[in-house]
Amino acid sequence: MMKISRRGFIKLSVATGVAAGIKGKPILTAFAENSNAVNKLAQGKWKSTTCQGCTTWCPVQVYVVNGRAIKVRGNPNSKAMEGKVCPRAHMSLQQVYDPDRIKVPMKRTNPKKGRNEDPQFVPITWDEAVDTIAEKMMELRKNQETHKYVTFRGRYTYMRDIIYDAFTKIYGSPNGISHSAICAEAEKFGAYFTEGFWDYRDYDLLNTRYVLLWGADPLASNRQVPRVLNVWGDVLDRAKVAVIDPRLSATASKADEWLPVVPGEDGALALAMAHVILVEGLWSREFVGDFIDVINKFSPGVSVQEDTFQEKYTYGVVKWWNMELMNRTPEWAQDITGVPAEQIRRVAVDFASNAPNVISWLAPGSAMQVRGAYSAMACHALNGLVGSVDNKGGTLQGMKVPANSIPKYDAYVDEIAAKGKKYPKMDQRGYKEFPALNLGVSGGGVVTNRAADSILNEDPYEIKMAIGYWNNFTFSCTGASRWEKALEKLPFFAHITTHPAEMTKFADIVLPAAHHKYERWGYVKSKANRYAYATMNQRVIEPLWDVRMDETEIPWLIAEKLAQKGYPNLFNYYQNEFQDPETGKKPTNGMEFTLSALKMFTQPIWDPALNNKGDKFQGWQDFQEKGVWNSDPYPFKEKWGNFGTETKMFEFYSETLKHALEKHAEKHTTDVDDIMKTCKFTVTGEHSFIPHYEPAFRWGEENEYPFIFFEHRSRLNREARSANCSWYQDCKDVDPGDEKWDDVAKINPVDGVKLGIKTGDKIKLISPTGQIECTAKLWQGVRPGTIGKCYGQGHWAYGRIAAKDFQKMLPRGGNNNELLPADYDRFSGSTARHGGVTRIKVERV
Amino acid sequence: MANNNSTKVIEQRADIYKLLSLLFYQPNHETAGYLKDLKELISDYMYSGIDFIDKMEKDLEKTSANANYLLVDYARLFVGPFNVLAAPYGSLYLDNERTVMGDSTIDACRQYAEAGLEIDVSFKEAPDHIAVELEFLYYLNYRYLETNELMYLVKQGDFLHGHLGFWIDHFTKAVLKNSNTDFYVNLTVITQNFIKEDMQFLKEFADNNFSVEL
Repeated sequence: MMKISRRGFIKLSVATGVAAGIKGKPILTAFAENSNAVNKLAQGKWKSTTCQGCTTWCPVQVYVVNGRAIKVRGNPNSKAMEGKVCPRAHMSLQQVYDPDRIKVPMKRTNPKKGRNEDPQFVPITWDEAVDTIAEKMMELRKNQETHKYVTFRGRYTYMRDIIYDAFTKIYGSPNGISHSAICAEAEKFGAYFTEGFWDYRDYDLLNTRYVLLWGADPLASNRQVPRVLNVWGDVLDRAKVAVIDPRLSATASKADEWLPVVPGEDGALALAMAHVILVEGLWSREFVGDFIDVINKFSPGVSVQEDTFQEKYTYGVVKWWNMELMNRTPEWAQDITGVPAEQIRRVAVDFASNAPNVISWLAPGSAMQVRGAYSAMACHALNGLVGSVDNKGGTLQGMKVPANSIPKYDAYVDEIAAKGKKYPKMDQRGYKEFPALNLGVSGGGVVTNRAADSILNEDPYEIKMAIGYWNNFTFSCTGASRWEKALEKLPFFAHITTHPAEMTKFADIVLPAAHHKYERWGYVKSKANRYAYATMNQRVIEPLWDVRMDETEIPWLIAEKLAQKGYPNLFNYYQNEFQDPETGKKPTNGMEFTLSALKMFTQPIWDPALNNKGDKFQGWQDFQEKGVWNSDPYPFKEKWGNFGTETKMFEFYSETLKHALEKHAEKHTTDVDDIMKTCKFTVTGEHSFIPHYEPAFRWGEENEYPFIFFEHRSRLNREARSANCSWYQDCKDVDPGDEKWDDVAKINPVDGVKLGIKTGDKIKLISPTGQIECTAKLWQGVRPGTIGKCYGQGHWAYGRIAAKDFQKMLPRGGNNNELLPADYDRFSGSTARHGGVTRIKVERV
Repeated sequence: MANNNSTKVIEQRADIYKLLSLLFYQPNHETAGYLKDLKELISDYMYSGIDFIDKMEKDLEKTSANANYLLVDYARLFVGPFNVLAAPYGSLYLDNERTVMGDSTIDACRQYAEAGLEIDVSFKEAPDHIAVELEFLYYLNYRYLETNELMYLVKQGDFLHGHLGFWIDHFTKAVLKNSNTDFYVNLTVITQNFIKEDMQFLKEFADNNFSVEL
């Protein structure tokens, strides 16, 4: 809130005829006098911080002049990104200085909630906002209903456990619900059930000779974008690149091979490539092993005796061949995938001939599909076949970042909280139809998008209150309209956000958050170029508006209020357990708490007495100045024979998946076949444990909905948060086929002629579950029979520029998530937003 | 040197700037008092100024029945969220991009610093918010009266021509188009008229008192 001065000056002025200020000091509200102010107009300085505009999480530096951020560059101290950034980093300048940002806490004065209801938000003090939230929380505690509270987490820093874990649990709810399952969990599934690694992989681009990209467009998005932009010229000089994508992406346009696969049929393509690699004898003897008599017996349609092959660091290659691969010829795949057999064979041979310094790079495009679990396994298994896994020029895990976890909080959980947090989580994870097998555990992962159904159906129980931060599920989840209904139903919702979003529309209280790159403290961990790193989010400019940090300051404020209202445990935990590691001082306010926590978490990095790996620092100040810690480079082949699988080997027959599925089936007193059917898979028996063919699952019948719809990402998307930046709109045509200030559905000209639609026509896309309007663009970069559209436009409440006409509630184009049905890759819990999950029809508006 | 009459005029103008500045903050229990004081001063400087303030006072009375009456309009026009309908920031009218902290904002900060001012650390708004610029004009008048140094009036003229005096018309247009309350319509019209009148005053003051053009 603004500081308002007394109006005494004017009374005095009127009474005496002399302006009050003239005799004494001037009465200033916004200003302070400083005769030295002009000398403080300092020279600029580069300050280290972190860009979280996408999932790469780049170490960056911001040039600050007179308190104003004017320029961004990569942090030259980063060994992963080598001082590079992508276009997103620059665009954040328009985000932080967006006049449509949330500036002060606000409350809703129109109790009716809905897309077309004006919330009539009015500014309130932080005290009133936090008091309102704490009061609601205490009401639930009083009624022993703390489990009916949810923390919805979107993007985060590694300060997250303060709000997501400790805050939620000490209060008494199990419901920390993250966004992860709408992000990319399905691709982690592929690596986990082959090499026991539930995470994103790193790639040794410097030494690679072939890059096979599965639905990946790393010049534009997901992930390591600056790294790829920096080295791709060299990669193209020394390696071949093949892109599997129904769209001619930025990366595909520079590639040696483009395989415009029928959406959702990536798995068939990968299996056919595996077939070719084995038949042609191009597998890695060093990694996979060989026939005892060294004569290749992999011949199309012919099974092989298991005991004739001696495996080294893999498990089940012959089983995989016999059960699946022997009939998966390129000719078989050609009709399914729409990719000529000749090209499949050529790419497979080229890829394997350059092995082991090759990469089969799996991205969400080929994994976040209803039956994507097995596609993910098949695509990643190619790395196993050719021995590129954990190898030079191949696909890598990552070095460990030494950081502390949050202090234990068990002693602060009282009886009510202990009872509350024992309830099952509200997102239906671990249900028979939602195994969500993170780390192989039934219900181990989140099913983010089911939270809407949970609220609507009160299944497993009623939800009465939620706090969401750095998220916008009403826009970013498929089946988006369910979220609108769910939030209409939710009795109390507080949204912590930098920018107003569709989700904010339904909030009772809105809290302004500090921007992650310019205004907050925190840190994140990531990796690229064989280096893991920790990079700090730093307050490089003083915030213009009255914002607080979502993961630390705001929980502190709420904890203070809860203590005042009779539940001091959370506040005591924060104050007692987060003492400054250098001074031992207990925090007395949210900012001190934030900095103490950050210093605690990162102490093993910056404290010279503790750090013995990677970069060394003289202390906290030194780390702050440099902004990033780099690990030692990742060593090759150390995982060979020691993978995190049941067998310690790279599994083509996944004992790890078998174990996980059997456990899940046992929990539901059924068998794996029943689980497979329940989760929309088509096979039974042993096939369930190997990468196998599953036909793409689609909503809608072809006769009514003739086109397969697929979506892709923009090289300008800051996770769908960029649309209120004019630079985003001005430059939208950097995405191949897209247009400035517009949202286009890309249609092959052949289909355009059939439909009688031309570029520029306003069209309606209709799926069995929703419809949106946008502009037609006839473009040869999508395969006939499919319609592709970028995600990110279609905001109806994200600021003046993002909407076409905010006052009239007209979005700029349409949000794909209003068209896409809410469906899932149930094994990972992921939202199936790719793979042509729905068919559509097109009408001219 | 200015004579006593002109001193009084400048004192009053300083007070008007300060009151207008305060009225562009979130309305509160002091708002009625600011209006009353403004009413006493404005008639000498603005034809039918009192009528405008009467309308504002009448509108303000509605807040006794509905405390949020003015706040909702205030938020829609000047705070947001979603779409600030009448952005109260100079940079949105003076720079090419729809962002705050543009080059013009930094120029405003430079002018503040040259006058011996910086933004108070506890102040949570952009430096070219209309309330800040109006307070700056108050301060320049104050400094002139305190020191009799012409440069403060020169600075005032410069600032009006390069900043608030330049964007007030666009801002007024946005408020008139989007406001649902007589309070903000009339506050903005008074502010616009007063600024225009003050720019003329400064010119005449210079013509009459100095050989330097302001």
